[in-house]
Amino acid sequence: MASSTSRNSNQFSRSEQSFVAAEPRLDGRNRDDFRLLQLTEGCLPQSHGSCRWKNGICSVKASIVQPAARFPTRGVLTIHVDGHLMRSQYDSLQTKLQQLISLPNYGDEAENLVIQEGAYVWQLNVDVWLLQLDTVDAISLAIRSAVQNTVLPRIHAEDLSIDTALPPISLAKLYTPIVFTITCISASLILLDATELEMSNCWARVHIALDEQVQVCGMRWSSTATLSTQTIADCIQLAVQAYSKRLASIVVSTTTSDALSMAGSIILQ
Amino acid sequence: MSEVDSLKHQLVVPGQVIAVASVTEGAEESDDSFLRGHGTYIEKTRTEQRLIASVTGIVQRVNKLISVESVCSSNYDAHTGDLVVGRIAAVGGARWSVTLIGHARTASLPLSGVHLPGGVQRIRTAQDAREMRQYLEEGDIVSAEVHKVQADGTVFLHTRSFRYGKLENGCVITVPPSLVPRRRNHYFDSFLDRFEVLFGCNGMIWMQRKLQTTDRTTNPVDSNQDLAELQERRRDEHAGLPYSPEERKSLARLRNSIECLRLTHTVVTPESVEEVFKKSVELNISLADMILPQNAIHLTASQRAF
Repeated sequence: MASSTSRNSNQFSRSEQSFVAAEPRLDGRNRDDFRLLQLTEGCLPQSHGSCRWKNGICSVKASIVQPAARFPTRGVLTIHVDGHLMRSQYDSLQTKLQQLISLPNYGDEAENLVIQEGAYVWQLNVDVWLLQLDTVDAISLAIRSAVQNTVLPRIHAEDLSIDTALPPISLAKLYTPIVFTITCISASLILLDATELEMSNCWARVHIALDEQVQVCGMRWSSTATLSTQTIADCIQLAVQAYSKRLASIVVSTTTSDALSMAGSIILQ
Repeated sequence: MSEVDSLKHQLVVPGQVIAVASVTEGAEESDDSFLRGHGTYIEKTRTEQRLIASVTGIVQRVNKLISVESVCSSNYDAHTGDLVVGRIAAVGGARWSVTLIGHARTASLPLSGVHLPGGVQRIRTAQDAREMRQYLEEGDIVSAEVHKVQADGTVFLHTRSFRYGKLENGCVITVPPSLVPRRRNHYFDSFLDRFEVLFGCNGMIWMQRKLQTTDRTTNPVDSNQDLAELQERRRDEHAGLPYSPEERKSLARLRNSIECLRLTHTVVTPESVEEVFKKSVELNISLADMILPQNAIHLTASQRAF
């Protein structure tokens, strides 16, 4: 069927897309305001660590492996994303997460993952199951939460048996990087925590991973036009300034929490 | 009959038998015959007819008409005359496929059921069928009325009135259909004096700023064609004009008011939306803070009290 106008391949109308290309945003947020994210830790008792949120569930299971030859004192982190849709839909998410999120290689917490230097380290296998496709941001926060929820047994280095005398290791202070996705809608408009509608009209998307020290430890971007260094610098600055705001927009509860936070989680679903 | 009486207002599940009628040889109606309403289907054997529920819901009975009203909040039961707001899913075959509810079958908006641009009345040609995309594209939002609902559940829409058509330059929000009760009027062209709001029975609510009334003729009801042209002109003006920041902010407040009602699963009526809007202004709650759980609960408290 021939048509003189080009087909709109998006799920949103052109009118809606041009409507969001201006400030203030549809729900009244500023460029760097985040939507509330509710995380519930400890929902999978058979995993070493776990975390659930509205769009998915994240599980951390640890195993003992030989460390990489170049990094004999570093633990290993693997991430796998899956869901009930086709595999191809999760592949790009998985690749992005694997490239952006890595374990910190300094500090006391990183040492907790080493059983014997050069011989045995812990490998944290992170499995994310998505009920609905979600942003890299939310998944990175869930992964951080699940890793912090992880408790590992202490291991004898000689025979790899569990040392019941010493208390288990808690990774509560291990901060994996969190990702900020900056959506560039027009020359002057860059947004954080964009909705699906806002993302459908962007010309560039920049993912910036910030570690605990609010330093950039990973970056990826995709754009349909040239991304100037000035724009990249603006994005980095936006993410760095919004770091504490992001942490403030998260509500973390454990599965045995009190009635008020449970009521809150019901409302957000 | 008594069996049906006792089942009135009872909760049934899909597959549950509601009524049984014996089938007689002649054409006479037996005492326990029934008329099938929505939410049910009939199983026939040689000796009897059984009425079985097809949804989870409550049995309603009016004389011999038995139907089941669904309790599932995300089901939309289309009735003729409902105002709905939908999104075009596909274009082709001399009709548009319109999504009313995310997961269910799409409704059908035939080419014969829309006003052609210019308000002309003529037989649709093959040329019209080829140029359908110039009028409505995939992703576009339309307001329409349910024209008829077939027995198998297929819904046919029409936009044959100057009140319906493509919706542009505004904002749509989706709530569960059960939260939008059926009323006499679903279209408000002067909501809170600055918005035009459509409460679609399928749960999609459209809001935009009020159309400018600069071009009103002194005799607006000369003919239907004039009215349609006038409306078209006003719509085009509105679609081309961007919003000012204040207009966007107040539209955001309206959108967030409806979002608050959705989060607390409260009925969405013009009155409740107005109430939440005014309260949020009174309490000076910022736009982004309105949809936080504690604020949403507080703002909708008076609407949820029975």
